[in-house]
Amino acid sequence: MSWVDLTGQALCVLGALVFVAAGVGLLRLPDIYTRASAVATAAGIGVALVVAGAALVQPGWDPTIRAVVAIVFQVATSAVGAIAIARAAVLSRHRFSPETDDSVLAEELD
Amino acid sequence: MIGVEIAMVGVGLTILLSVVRIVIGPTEGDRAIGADLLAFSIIAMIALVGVRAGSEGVFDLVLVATLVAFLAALALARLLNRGAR
Amino acid sequence: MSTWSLPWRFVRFAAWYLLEVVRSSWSVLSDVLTTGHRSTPRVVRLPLESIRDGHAALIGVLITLTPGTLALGVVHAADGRRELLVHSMYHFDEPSALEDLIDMEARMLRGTTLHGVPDPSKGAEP
Repeated sequence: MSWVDLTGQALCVLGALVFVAAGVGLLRLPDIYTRASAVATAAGIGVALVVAGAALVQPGWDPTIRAVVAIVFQVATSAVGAIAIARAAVLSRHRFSPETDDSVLAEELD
Repeated sequence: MIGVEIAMVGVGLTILLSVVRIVIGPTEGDRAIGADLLAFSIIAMIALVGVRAGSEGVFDLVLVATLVAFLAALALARLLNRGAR
Repeated sequence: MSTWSLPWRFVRFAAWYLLEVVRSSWSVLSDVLTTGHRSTPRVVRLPLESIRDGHAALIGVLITLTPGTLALGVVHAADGRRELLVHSMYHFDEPSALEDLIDMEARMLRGTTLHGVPDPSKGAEP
């Protein structure tokens, strides 16, 4: 039980906490845009934390390099994926929750 | 490896929650977002299960799954918009 | 600013961004994991200072990764400049949301361009 191992496990638990928050947010938040915001955070930061933690639990150069490449790809692509889905939702006229101030968008779409 | 096991429980719970969102909808967009989170939580689950089992090649799997999840997200966005960009 | 200070400026921006993520995830966590809703969602138009496509894409990714804010897409303003549509959940009103987003973009430009913020008197970068 070394410090590296302990740090890795702590990162895994932290990442899992981000995931649970996103899952609960996915159920509780009112519209697709707020849900997409929660999912984008979990996908970027949650996966990065879990993979970094997993790499620390399994030490060695080989897993570390692969984990770093995986994290870089994950952070870069997850946000782009979320933006693509949110943009498609705007263009296909998915509704905002009633309390949202979307006056800026209304003039853009007409 | 108690931390890894706790994390597996949390990520498993997230998989369940995103399946619930996919089932209840109500719009296609909500289902797309649920599917997105499902893909990412399965990626995290692969990493955790692989480390728990002491597997060597698990990060290769994570890398490939990451890229597939990106393509899936773009395909979902395209579907939502009925093929228009 | 000198070109050689770029690594230092980049590291400082990365550290600031990580702190910002931790700070804003706190407000999201405390809303999502407790009963009731405290969010005040709104859509704002952020006029982009970024001239290069890469910087415009990067600020969209950074805004989306920050908990509570989500980039919705790029639109062109009447004067041809780019504006980013941003969905924000926890800003009390439009000016405070814009202030935070403009601050983030200025810091990003300082941390990722060779000479810091491009000098407006010299016109657009080629």
